[in-house]
This record gives sequence, C-alpha cells and structure tokens, in this order.
Amino acid sequence: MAGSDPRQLLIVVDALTQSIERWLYSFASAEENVRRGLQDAQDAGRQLLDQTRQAREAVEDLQSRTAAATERVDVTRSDSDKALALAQKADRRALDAIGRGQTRLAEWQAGLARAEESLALAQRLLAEAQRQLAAAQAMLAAAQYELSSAGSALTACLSSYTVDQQGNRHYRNCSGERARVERAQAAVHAAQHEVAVARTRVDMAAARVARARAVVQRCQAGLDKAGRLLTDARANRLLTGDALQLGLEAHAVADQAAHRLQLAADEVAHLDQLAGQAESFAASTADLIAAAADQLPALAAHLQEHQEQGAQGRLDLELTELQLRQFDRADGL
Amino acid sequence: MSVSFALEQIVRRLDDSSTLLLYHSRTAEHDYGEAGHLWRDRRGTSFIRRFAVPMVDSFPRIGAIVADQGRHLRLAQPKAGEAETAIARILGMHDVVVQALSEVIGLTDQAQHLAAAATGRAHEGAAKAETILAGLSALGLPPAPEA
Repeated sequence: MAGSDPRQLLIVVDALTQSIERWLYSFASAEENVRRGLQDAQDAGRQLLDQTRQAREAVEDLQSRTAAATERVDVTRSDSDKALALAQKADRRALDAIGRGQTRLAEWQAGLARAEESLALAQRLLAEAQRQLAAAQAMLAAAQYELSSAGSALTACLSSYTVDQQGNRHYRNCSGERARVERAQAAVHAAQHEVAVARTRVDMAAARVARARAVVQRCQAGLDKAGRLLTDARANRLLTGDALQLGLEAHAVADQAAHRLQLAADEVAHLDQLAGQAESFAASTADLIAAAADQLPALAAHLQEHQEQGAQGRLDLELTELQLRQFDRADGL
Repeated sequence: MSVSFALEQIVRRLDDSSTLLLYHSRTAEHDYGEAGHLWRDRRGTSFIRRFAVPMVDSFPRIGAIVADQGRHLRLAQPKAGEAETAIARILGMHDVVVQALSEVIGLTDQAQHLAAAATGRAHEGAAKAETILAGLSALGLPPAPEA
C-alpha cells in the first residue's frame, strides 16, 4: 500500500464493502422478485389452461346439445313432411269427392228433369186417354139412348093397329123400327167396345204415370242423397284443408327450427374454432412462461456465484481493512 | 383479475426489477471503477481482478436473463389476452346458444304438435272422403225414364 493514503483506502474499502452488500442485496431482492413474478406467471398460466379446459368443456356441452337438437329436428322434419304429405293426399281425395259429388248431383239433376218430362208426357197421354174414354162413353150413352128410342118406337109400332070396317085389326109394318133397333144395338155394341178400349188405354196411361212418378220420386231421393254427399264432401274439404294448413304450419315451424339450429350449429362451430385458438394461445402462453421460468436456475446460479464472490471479496476487504488499521496504528494515525 | 392483466403486472414488476438491477449494476460498476482508480496497489489490483471484474463482466448476462424473461412474458401477455378473449366469447355465448337450442327444441315441440294434429285430421278427412266416394259410387246413375 505504499504511496496510498491508508485513511483514503479505508474509506475506499468501506465503500466497496457497502457496494458489494448493496449489490448482493439488490441482486437477491431482484432474483426473489423475478422468482415470485414467474411463480405468479406460472399460476396465471395454469389458471389460463384451466379456463381453456372449461371453455373446451362448454363447447363440448354445446356440441352434445346441438347433436341432440339435430336429431330431434331431423325427426320433426320427417314427421312434419309425412304429416304434410298425408294432408295433401287427404285434401286431394276430398277434392276428388267434391268433384265426383258435383258430377253425381248433375247426373241426378238431369235424371230428375228427364223423369219429370217423362211424367208430364205420361200425364198428357193419360189426359188424352181419359178424353177418348169420355168421348167413347158419350157415344155409348147416345147409342144406348138411340136403342131405347128405337125400342120404344118398335114397341109402339108393334102395339099400334087400325080396325077396318069389318072390325079386323090391321097391324102396322114395323120392319123399319126393327131395323132401327138392330142398328141401335149394333151402335151400342160398337160404343161399348170403344169404351172398353178407351178404358184400357186410360189404365195403361195411368200405370205409365204411376211408373213415371215413381221414377221422379227415385230421382228426387237420389238427388237428395247426392246433395247430402256433396255437402258432406264440402264439409270434409274444410277438415282436410285444416289438416293441410296444419301440415304446412308444421313444415314451416320445422323449417324455422332447422334454420335456427343451423345458426346455433354455425355458432358452435365458430366457438369450437375459438376453443382451438384459445388452447393454442394458452399453450403458447404456458410455453413462454415456462421458457422464462427455465432461466431461473441460470439467474440463481449467477446469484450463487455473486454471493460466493461477494463473501470472498468481503473477507478480502475485511483482511485489508484489518491490515490498514494495524498499519494506521503503527504509524500513529 | 384476468391472466393477461396479471401477466402485464408481472412484466411491469420484472421491468422494475430489471431497472433496479441495471441501476445497481451501474452503481456497483461505478464503485468498482472508482475503487480501481483510488486503490492502485497490488492488493487493490488483485481485488479488482478477482472480484470486481468478474462481477461487472456478469452484469450484462444477468441483465440479459431478466430482460429475456421479461421479453418472454411480454410475448405471452397478448397471447393470454387472445386466449382470454376467445374464452370469454365462448363462456359468454354458452348460455346464449343453450337458450337458442332450447328455443329450437320448443319449435320442434310446436311442429310435432302441429304435425300430430295435421295427421289426425288428414286420417279423419281421408276416411270421410272414402266413405263419401263409396256412397257416391253406391248411389250410381239415375234410372232412365220410359221411352
């Protein structure tokens, strides 16, 4: 230490000692701070991985729910398709029934018109037959009257005579009256025949009228039945129309469910991607934290080395200080 | 507290530590330099060579380690933020999607109910149509009037 002021060196040694202490304290403090910081970072990294796992579980839960909903929507769409197809078929059948009912009603209306025409014709024929019968009957009555008159004339003729002077009765020649009676009888027979013929015609015409009336009645009954069936068919169309409307609504609601399911499924797919990204980012975060933590041993080794060097240095400085103080005392400082 | 925010805080603490280390390393370097200037004898030279120089030489390596650790965490922080944003979106949307799927199930229930009603009415209507058609067929054509 020749050439150096021992007092100044003591100050230097003391300052060095303090500097080493400050450095080592600062280094140890920083190392501890870094260690705790990295421990906190590792905790945060684990927390992030935990949150990522929860997010993945949430996505898996949504995927499971989406799969269940998809199955249900598929069944519902199938059921609503079947219901709509059934309703459409029933509605077509109901329309077919209405069409056939209208045709049948028209057929029976035409049939009734024809039957009524036929009845009218039969009634006209009956009236004509009745008129002919009445005429025949009038002719018969006239012939009978003529016969009666002819008979009376003949009787009168036969009972009339003249008495001549001798007192002899002279009866009249009644051949003319007799001939009249015979003609009248022939006329009565002929008239009776005409009446019988006319009555037969009346009976036949009446029978035809009865048959025509029966046909009219059957046509009216058939028309009534066709009308009722058409009314039923129209009422049934309301039912199948209702079924068709319900089927269309079911189809529309099922479509809406499928559309909303698709939106949800798209969102779930997006969330699945996000979960993958979160896992990737969380893994990168954990890797980076681990990379930072991996350097802690190197830092600790430096600290250890500095502490050992510091301890050696302090010993060296203490020895120097001791020697300086001995030197100072020897010099009477 | 979010992981990203926690990492940000940790990075700040590491930055503080790094700054303090840098400050103290420069102070120590200055102290050793000054001591080397003032303490020029053999012992002083030996002390500086044996203790001060190795320490000072290792300061950049120590600083580099802490800086590298900070750099890693600084890189980790936005990634954690991205992960947390994605996680928050997932967890936030979970209930929304569950609600949406619940509504889907509700719609399927409604559709099933409508389909069942449509099927019932369709069967009833079809059966009635067949009965009506059979009645019309049985009714046949009107009788032809007498010529």
